[in-house]
Parts: sequence; C-alpha cells; structure tokens
Amino acid sequence: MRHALNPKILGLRPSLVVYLYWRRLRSYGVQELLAGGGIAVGVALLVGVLAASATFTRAGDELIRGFVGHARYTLAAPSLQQGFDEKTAEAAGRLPGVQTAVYLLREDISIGGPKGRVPVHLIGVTSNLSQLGGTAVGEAEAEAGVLAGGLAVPARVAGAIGSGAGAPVTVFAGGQTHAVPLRALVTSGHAAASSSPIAFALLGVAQRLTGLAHTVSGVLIEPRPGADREVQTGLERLAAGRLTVEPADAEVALIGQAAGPIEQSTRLFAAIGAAIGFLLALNAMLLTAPERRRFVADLQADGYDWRQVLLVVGFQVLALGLVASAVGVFVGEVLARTLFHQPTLLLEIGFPLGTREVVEPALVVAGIAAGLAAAVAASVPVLRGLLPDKTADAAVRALDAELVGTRATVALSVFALVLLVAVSVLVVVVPSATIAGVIALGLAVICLIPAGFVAAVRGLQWLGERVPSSALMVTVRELRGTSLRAVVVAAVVALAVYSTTATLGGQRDVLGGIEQGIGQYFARAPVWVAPTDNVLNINGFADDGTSSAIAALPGVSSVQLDRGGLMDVGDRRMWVDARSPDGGSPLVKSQLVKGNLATADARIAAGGWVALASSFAASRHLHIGASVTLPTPSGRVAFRVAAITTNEAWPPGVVTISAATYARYWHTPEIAAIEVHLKPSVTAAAGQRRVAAVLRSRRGLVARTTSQRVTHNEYVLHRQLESLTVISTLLLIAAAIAVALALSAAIWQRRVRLASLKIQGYDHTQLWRALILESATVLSVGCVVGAVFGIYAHVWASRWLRIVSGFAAPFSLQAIDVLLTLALVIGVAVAVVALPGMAAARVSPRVSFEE
Amino acid sequence: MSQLELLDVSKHYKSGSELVRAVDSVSLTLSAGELVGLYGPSGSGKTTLLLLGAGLLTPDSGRILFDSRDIGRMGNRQRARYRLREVGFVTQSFHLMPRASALDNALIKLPAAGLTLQQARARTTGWLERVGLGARIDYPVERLSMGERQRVAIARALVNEPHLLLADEPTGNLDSSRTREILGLVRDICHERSVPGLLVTHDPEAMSFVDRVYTLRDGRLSDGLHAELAATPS
Repeated sequence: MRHALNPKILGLRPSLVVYLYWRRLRSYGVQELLAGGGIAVGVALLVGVLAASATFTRAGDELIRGFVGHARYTLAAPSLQQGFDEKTAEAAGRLPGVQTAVYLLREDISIGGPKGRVPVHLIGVTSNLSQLGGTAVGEAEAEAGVLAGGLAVPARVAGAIGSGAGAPVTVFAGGQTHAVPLRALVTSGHAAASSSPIAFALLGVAQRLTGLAHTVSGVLIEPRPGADREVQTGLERLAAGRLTVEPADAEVALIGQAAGPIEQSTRLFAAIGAAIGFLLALNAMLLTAPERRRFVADLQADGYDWRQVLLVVGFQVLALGLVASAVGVFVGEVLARTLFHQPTLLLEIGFPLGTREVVEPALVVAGIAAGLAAAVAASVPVLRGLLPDKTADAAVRALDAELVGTRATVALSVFALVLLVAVSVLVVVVPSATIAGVIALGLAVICLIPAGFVAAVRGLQWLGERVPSSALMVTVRELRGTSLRAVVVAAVVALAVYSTTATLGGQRDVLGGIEQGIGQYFARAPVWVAPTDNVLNINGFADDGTSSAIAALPGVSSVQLDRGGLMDVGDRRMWVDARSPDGGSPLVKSQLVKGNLATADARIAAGGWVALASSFAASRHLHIGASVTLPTPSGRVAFRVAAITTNEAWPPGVVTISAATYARYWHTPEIAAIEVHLKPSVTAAAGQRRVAAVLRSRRGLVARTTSQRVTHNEYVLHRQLESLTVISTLLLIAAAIAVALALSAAIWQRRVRLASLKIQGYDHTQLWRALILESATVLSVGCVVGAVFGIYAHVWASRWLRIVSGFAAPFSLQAIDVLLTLALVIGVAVAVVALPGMAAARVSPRVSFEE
Repeated sequence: MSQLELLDVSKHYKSGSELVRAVDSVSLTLSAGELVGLYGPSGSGKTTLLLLGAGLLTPDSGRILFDSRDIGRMGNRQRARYRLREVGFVTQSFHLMPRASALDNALIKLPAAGLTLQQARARTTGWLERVGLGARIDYPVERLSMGERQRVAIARALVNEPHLLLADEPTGNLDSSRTREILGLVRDICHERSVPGLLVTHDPEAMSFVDRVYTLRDGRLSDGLHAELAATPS
C-alpha cells in the first residue's frame, strides 16, 4: 500500500525529483527566471507575430460566411458601387426553387458623432436576413435596432465617433448629410462583425440615405433543397450578361486575392520572427548550461545513474519550458491584439473588414512546442556530461562541447555560400520561390556567423598589432575560440537585422513607388473636390450642379469630372479609374510599365481602349493591343489594351479608362471627384477657400489642395505599414535586450578571470572598456552579417513585391535606415551591458583567490 | 635598487562576532635581489600579507613602503598601475585564459602598459624561452602540463620586468621535481635581476630555495622556520 502511494520512476520518487528542482530554484532562482524570461519572450514574439498575420483574410472569411449563412448564390452588379433595379431583385426572389431571397444595398458612407467621423460600409438588408441563418448580425439587439429603422454599428465604430445606442449620428453619403438614430451596437457576438467598419440598416433606410431609391447591389439566394441547378439557371437567364451570378461567398476569394501580397510579406516576416523567438529561447537556456553541467556532475558523484540524471534534468527543463512557454503564449496574444495589430485601412476601401487577432489552439500548441524544443535543444550540451568519458582531460572535453571548431566554421561557411548561390539561381528562375529563398538566406546568415567571428577577431588582432590597447587584446583573446553561446547571441542579432532590413526595405520600396504615383496622380489639378474620406477616386456622388457652381468661381479656369469605382473581374476587385482626358493624361507616368504614354493617352481618350495593371495583365497573358472583355453594367464589353501599368495604390489592380467611356458603359451620372483647375494668378490655398465656400451646402464633400490630398492618402498608406515597423522595432529591441542579458550573464560568469587580470595590474576602467568592446564586437558581427544579407534579400523582396503585388517598387537602399537599425541594436545592447559590465569590472581581485 | 618595507602593519577581519587578526603588527623588509620565504599553515595570514604587499588590500594600521612610496595611501588606479609596472605576481591558480596560447597568456599585461601586440610578443617570447617554454609558445594552454602552465604564469609575472616578485604557493599544484624546478627559477630571477621577492608557501622544503625565512602564525611574524610548525601538516 505504501509502495502504491509512493511510486518510483527509475528508482526515484517523484517527490524527490520535484524537491531537487525546488532546491535548484532556491539556489539559482534568478538564473532560472532569466532563462524562463528568455523563453517567454521568444514564444511571445513567435505567437504574437503569427497571430497578427493573415488576420484580414481570416476576418473576411469569418464575416462573409457569417453574413451569407445558407445562401448559395448571389446575383450582383459587376461594379460594387453600381446597383441595379429592385424589380430585378424581386424577379430573382420569385424564381422557381428559391427558398429565401435577401436584397442588399452596399455603399461606402461616413458616419459622424461628437468625437469625429469614420468611413464605414453601409449594408442595407431586407428584414428576412435572419432566415439565412448567418451569425454576423444575429444578435437580438442589433436585429431589433435595424428593424426599428435605424443603424446598427459595431461597438468599436460607435466608440470611434463617440456615440452610443439611442444617440443620433450624422451620415455622410453621396455628398449629402442625414441625421439617423443609432439604434443598436453589434458587440462581441461575432468577432469579425464586431471589429469591422460596417453599418447595418434596413434596405429602405439605406436607399433613402444614399439616394439610391429602388436600387439594390445584390440578392442573396438560398435555393430549396435539390433546386440548386434550377435556381442557378434561372439567375443566369435573369442576369443576361449585365449582372453576375456567383457563389454567395465569392467575396472570400476576392479578399484573399487582394490581401495576398500584404499577408505574404507579413508571413515572411512572421517566419523570421518565429526563428528569432526560437533563438532567443535557446539563448536563454544556454545561460544555465554551466550550472546545470555542474549539477549533472554532482548527481553523478552522488551515485545517480545516467537514466536518473536524465529524468531529473529532463523534469527541470520541461517544467521551466512549459511554464515559460505558457507565459509567452499569453504575452504573445496580448502583443497580437495591441502592438502587433495590423490596420488594413487601404484594403478596407474595397472590403468592409476589420481585423481581430485570434490565437488559434494550433498556435498555442506551436508556441508551447517551440518553447519546449528550445529548452530541450539547449540542454544537449548539459547532457553531454552523461556520455562515457573517453578523453583524458574532462575539462577540455567540456570546453570543446561549447566551441564551434575550425572545421565546423569552414563547413558552415561553404554551406552558406552554396545556399546563397542556389537561392539566387532559384529566385531568378522561379520568382514565386522568393519567400522560401529569403527564409533560406536567413539560415545562411546563421551559418556565416562563425566565419564572421573569425574575420572580426583577425581584424581586431591586426589593429592590436599596431595600436597599444589592452581592451583590444582582451577582446581578441576572449573571442578567439568561437563559443556556441557567442554564435547564438550573434545569430539572434543577425536574424533581427536581416529580417528588418529585408522586409522593411521591400515595404518601403513599395511605399516609395506608391507615393510617387499618388503625387503624380493628384498633380493634375491644384484643388480637388471629393467625398470626405475618399482615398482613391471610388466613392461616387451626384453632381447636382456643384461642378457648375465651382466652374463659375472667379479664378477657376476649368473643372474636370473624374469617375470611378470598383469592379469584380474574376477573382479580383479592381479599381476602375476614369479620369477626364481634358485635365491631362489619365495615366500616371511613373506607374507606366509598358507602352507609350502619348499613344496610350490618345487611345484611352478615343474610347475602346484601356490600360491594365500588370498583375492582372500577366494573369490573363494580355499584351498591348490585345483584346480584353470586362464585365460592365452594360454587359460584357471588349476593350483593347493601350498600356500596362502598376497597380497604382490598389493591391488587386487598376483599369484606366476615360470618364466618357465610364459614363457610357456604367450608366451613371455619379462622379467620384471634381478637378478644379485654377488660373495662374490664383494660389491653390486661395482656390481651395473659394471652392470650400461653394461646398457649404454639400457637407459630405470637401475641397483639398493637391498636397493635402496626397498627405491624406500617404497617411493611410503609412498606417498600413505601421505595424510592420512596430513589430520589427520590437523584434530588434527584444533581440538587443535578450542578447545584452546573455552577454551580461556571460560577463558575470567571468568575474574570477577579470579578478585575475586585476591582480596583473588592470584597472576597472580598462576591464570595462574591454567588456564593452567585446560585447560590441559580438553584436557587430551579427549586425554586419545580418545587414549585408538583409540588403541582398531586400533586392529580392522588392522584385518579388513588384511581381506579386503589381506595385511600383523601385529598389532603393535607405542606408540611413540600415545604419539606424544597427545603431539601435548595438546602442540598446551596449547600454544594457554597460551596467553589469561596470559591476563585473569592479570585482575585487581577491575573488580570484576565493575560487 | 628596489625595496619593500612593511612597518608595523596590521589587517583585521570580522568573521561573525569574532575579530580575526590576519596580520598583526608585522614589520618586514625585502631588499633587492633577496628572496624571502614566508612559511605558515593555512589561515595564518600569509596570503593577506602578500595581498597587502601587492596593494590589493590596504592595511588597517602601519605603512607599506615600496621604494619609499606608501602603497596604502595610493588610490585604486595608482595601485593598479603599481601592480602593472612594478609587481610580478604568481598565484597558485594560474587563471590563464582558455583557448589562448602560452604566448598570448604570458603577454596579457603588456598592452595594458601601453605596448602594441607586436612589441608585447617580442618581449614575451624571450621570457617564455627563459622559463623553458620556447618550443611551446603557440600551444593553447589546455595542451600544457600543470608545470608548464605554472611557468606560463611565471613568465606572465615577469614580462613587465617587475621590481618586486610576489609568489603565492606557486608550486601548490606541482610534483616535487617540478616544484624544485620552479622554485629554482624564481630564486635565480630574483638574484639575476636584483629584484626583491616574497615566496609564500606552506611547504617546508621550499625554504631551502630562499635567502631568509619567516614564519607567520595567527598573523604574527617570527624569524626562521619554526620546527613545530614545519612538522605539522598544513
């Protein structure tokens, strides 16, 4: 009975195994805390970065499927902004085999409250939406609010404008304003719905607010069981080529296509962030290796056999890894929701989605597994003490265990160079392999660290031969044998610098290209009139004489009416940009990829010709002069390709046509912007003031100068990249601090040797300088290797972004950014090392006698 | 001609509530070219006396003069400079830098004294040859025997051509033949270079290599090698 209550594992009571760890915690609590902290930081980075990536597509999937419920088909206008007659929708609802038909009207509007104004996507629905069984707006309060004739918005949107349930809000739609009661809030019932910039209303209310009476954007159809084919055939007959019949959740694919480039680059960053997290955890555990090795030796001396030692050490490692990983997962989730949260303002123009980061169970498991893997991997050098001792000198063996020898250094360097060549060839031949190539280059970075140490030591030695410096000498001696720990420390820094240089460099190239395009796009006119939150010229409004009033103003030479909207072509939601040729070239010179600008302008102005984004043209194998059929509201219309452009600022791509062509095939009097051209004697600011006076009765419209419009758009774009910058800066700082802690611990463990140098006559200032130089050298090796490879990967990343995203992404090396990155890492780490370094340098010489 | 004088020097420690008189009113003069042996059992205060002479401790009372300069009144930086330029210190634990060669270990203090590596290497090579390691200059210290490592430590103590040699149990890790070899070397260097030397040991046999012997017991110094102490195992 007693035996059953005290079971033994390998001859050891579990209570003894726990007690031994308890004893270790009491003796080396701070060290265990540091190691656990390192693992937690690593896991937090890994989980945070991974959870924050790919949220847009996930949110889209969640929201669309939650909204359409059991609906199988959607009958829609090819252009999101272009509706069709409600009678057609009613005809669809009467088709044989249809069980439920829900009519929709979707329109981009803005709503304002005491705290400000935000753009939202208004979704007007018929009251039978709940029959589809979707969960997106299934909350009782929301449904009741909508049915009561007001708006229902997510709590986040209400908070942003400073309004609440029951309060009136101002709706800005179609260049007009309306006061509408905010009836209800969509709270936490549905993650994607509660975080998206949307507003729900009954169809009639939406039609009144937008001025689109008797108009719908689409119909969601749920067929009766077994009537799918019959319904589809009926819908296609009804569409007659003017409307589209798609699966109800077709928008999921559109979102995936639009978010693809951004999410892929984020995933690339996440993969490297995960590797850094793993290395941080590994590094933290390596700190405890010397004490654990002594502990293993003590256990062996006390008569424990190798299996029992393995059990005791394994329990300690797993316990530490598990607790630290759990903490890391929690912190990672907080990071994902806060600092790593990625706004998707640009994509929100075309897709009414917000993102809410969710740490999936698989990610929790991955985070804990990575933390445990790091803990176990770092324990391998400790457990080498269990191997039979075949060498004469155990001390040499223990030392060898931590060293990266010359042979290994050469082998790793050769492997890295082969990898570099192989990746370069692969990426040139198969551009789609760029992400894998960039990750492989990260591996090459790590492999080159030992060679980097050898080069650094040789350089310092060369300097030391010529310059009398005790710091140089001590540093060279300490770094001459490249320890595994030094390699891991430098590898953490190298990967952080590498990933930041490569990914942010690529992102900035895209941004630079877009900014150049935006500048040229809006340079056509000094003053622009458009709906308040218009980023691209997409949201239409009724002119209602506004342009005539502006044209009549003194100082105004002419006005041009630009049109535009979004159009679903296959799996792409493309921006149709239709500018008046009279105001200048409809094309933006810097965004022209193929074709002659003058010829293309003339052809587009003549009608029947379009310019297409390169990504779309490439997906359809289109070239200049080729024919392309586009699904306009007038039906499918064949155009010829006049030029190939970049995507300009819209990820899925742009189709450039003339305003006249748009008006003809889109059957809409709505305009998206008014270009106001001024006489030479009138400044832009003066012109803006005069135009603004005209717009007093059109509160939904705003007049901006070119620079104001460019600034507004650039703000949106910068916000898009903001989180990547935050993540990379945090990665850099976390890496620098973790590395500094590792260096500090290593320095502290060398106090006896420092004391012996004091006996030889070194003073504490000389020792401190030596420690700082040594730390800076380790960091510099990582920084330089990381930066060189980062710049190389940046070239590939820019090329890949150009190909995949279709943005103009001209490679430009921001040397100042790279230098700032290096300065940040080295500065933070050296600053952290300086204090413990000073304390270690002040060690009493007597310590060497107390060993 | 250098000379170290300890004048009525005392150094006391508190161990719990007990006052330990590690060095108690000790007066001692080391003249140029003279190797003085300081014998005593463990805990008798030998190492404390050595640390006082090296300026690694300051006396509670009394004065320590090296060439008429009061070491006890020097600041930390001055004392470090004193050890760097004037003192050669050999310890029982060699404290050699792992993975570095014999040469690199032996020259360690010269860059701190303002020499380039080239200059330091040239000077140190001669000293390594002098201590019998000419053929093993580039050996990593891990590959050297204990006696060879101790010789590296001695070369390290001598490369700055010190004016005072202090040795704390320099043969504690060596067998008897190596012990004789090392002690002979220390004595010869003191005599050849007219350097005063203080050899601290608890090995009575080592006393045959020194010019004068003192015994330290409970912090008190007395002339000669006390027979009863010599017979007592340390």
